[in-house]
Amino acid sequence: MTATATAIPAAAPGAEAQTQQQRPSQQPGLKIDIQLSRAGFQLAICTDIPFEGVTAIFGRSGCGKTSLLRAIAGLEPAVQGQISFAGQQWLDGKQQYPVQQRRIGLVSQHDTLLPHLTVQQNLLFGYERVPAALRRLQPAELYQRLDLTLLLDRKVQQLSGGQKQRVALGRALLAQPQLLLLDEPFSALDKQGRQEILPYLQQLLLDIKIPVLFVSHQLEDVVQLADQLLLLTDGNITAQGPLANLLHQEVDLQHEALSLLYGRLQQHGSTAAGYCQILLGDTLVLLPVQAGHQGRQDLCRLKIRARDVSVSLQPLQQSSIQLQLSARVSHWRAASQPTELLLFLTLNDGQQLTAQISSLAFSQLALQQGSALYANIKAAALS
Amino acid sequence: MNLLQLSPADWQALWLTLKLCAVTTLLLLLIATPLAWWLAFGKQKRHSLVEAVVTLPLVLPPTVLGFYLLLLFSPQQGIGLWLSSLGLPPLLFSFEGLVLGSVIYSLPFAVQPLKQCFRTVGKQPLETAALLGAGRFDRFVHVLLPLTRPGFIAAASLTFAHTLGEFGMIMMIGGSIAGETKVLSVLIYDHTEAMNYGAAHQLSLLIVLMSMVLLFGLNRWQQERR
Repeated sequence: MTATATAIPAAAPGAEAQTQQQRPSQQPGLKIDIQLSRAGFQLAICTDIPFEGVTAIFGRSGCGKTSLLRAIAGLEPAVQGQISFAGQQWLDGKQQYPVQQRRIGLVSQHDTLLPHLTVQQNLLFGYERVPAALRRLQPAELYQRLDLTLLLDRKVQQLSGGQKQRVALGRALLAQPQLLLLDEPFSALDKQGRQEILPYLQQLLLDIKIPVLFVSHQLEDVVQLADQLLLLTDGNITAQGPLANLLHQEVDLQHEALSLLYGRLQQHGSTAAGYCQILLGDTLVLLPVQAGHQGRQDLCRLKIRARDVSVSLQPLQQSSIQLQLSARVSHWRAASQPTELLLFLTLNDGQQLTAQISSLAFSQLALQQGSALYANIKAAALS
Repeated sequence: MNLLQLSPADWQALWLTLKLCAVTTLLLLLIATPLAWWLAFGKQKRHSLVEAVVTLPLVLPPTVLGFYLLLLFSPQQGIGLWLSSLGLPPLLFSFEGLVLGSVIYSLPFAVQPLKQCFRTVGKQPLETAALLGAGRFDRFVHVLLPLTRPGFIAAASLTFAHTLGEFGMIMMIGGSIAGETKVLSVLIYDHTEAMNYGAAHQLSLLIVLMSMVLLFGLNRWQQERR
């Protein structure tokens, strides 16, 4: 792990982070030290991915995200260096461990369904090639979870883009992979197609206990799915660590200005219909329950846009804003619009939140580093 | 004119021709598959060089090809000398020699359709299959073959039809030995030389019909798949 990552206090709730530290050898880590040269492009990656939750690889188009995933999968013959996964040596110099023995699930942005097979034959292609002893996820269960039962006898040419991606995801999972690689699985889909696959994916990622590497150039998707982030620029890693922290530190990520907060879902206690209670630091808040969301027992994630956050020096009385958290000003930076500022706040429990406010308001409130204030969150997406 | 009043010699030539076409097609599919795969995805200079050599039989006069094969097969030098030193029968004026000649002569007709088809299908389905745990042979049988069947059928039909129409090269290296190298096209020449126009016409029509059926069948099949 790089210095950036270890120096940062874990943003995920303390209990979970601690259990992971106590048994680091149990984590199936991915060690990578590779070089790949192509005309006008150089990929040089040296990192250790410990797999605490979902790790996102984020970067602009052409920064080498897909090449990195293909190298890990063993599909780049020109790659050199070392790759090992959970003690298995996948790349040693130029020596490649056979792709078919790595047990990797790859869902790509392209349509990779085998066109001469039906939907069901596609889904079972990997499953049939896995030794019976390794078959933990059963087809019937998966068909139901991914809502594929009615599609099984279709030809793959008859499927919509979203359906194709669901089949590709199901096929990868039925091959019982020990590592799941998602290469922009939604990039070819429109908003509706995205909404069709995201809930399934999110729920599945919570349930299957395998490490996931998720490549994207959409920060919003990353914030919805990932806990750890690896930032890639021009073929090199420029930052790595917990996503919630990097959202505040990396200038590159801030043109979309999002925050990620972790909270605890309170199952007990009375709850108004359609709302759930979430403990954020020491504050209990009510949030609307999203359809289909079940959550990882008590842990939940809140995705908050900076422009949905305003600040006040006093708690707002008689306001429509339901979510108010006390915080302190950490630092600020100019936003993409010249009259706006990004204000970085630290909550009582150490989590970080970004607010987008006008520079006029900033000077009127006479804000300074360390000023105590209230963050008023207009909307938070529970994921 | 009475159709299909073939003499025993005609039947013998017809059988020999079909045997030559079948053996050549089978051998060429075996040779052309790995070659076409290598050419389909190769980007180096050596790929262009091999590509040119493979295409050469398409543009050379059959006599030129035949002449060099004649030199090559001659028992005094090269392959011919090596074979006779091993105690093997000579390739010149033999069926085996004809097969070898036909394989070279029809090579582009097997390689080109396969190469195009491999390029269209691309590597991605094979990568997908490998990630799903399929080994080399498994991928070939269960992914590549079903996806490239049109290419294989086109390659087989064209090779067969082209070998059927061989003449110049056979005259150079095979001569006209009944039952060994006297194929239909050579027999037609012999009949014509002997002013036996009726017999020549019968066999010529037979070749036209066989080629027509083969090419029509291929085209129709490709049409239906579109």
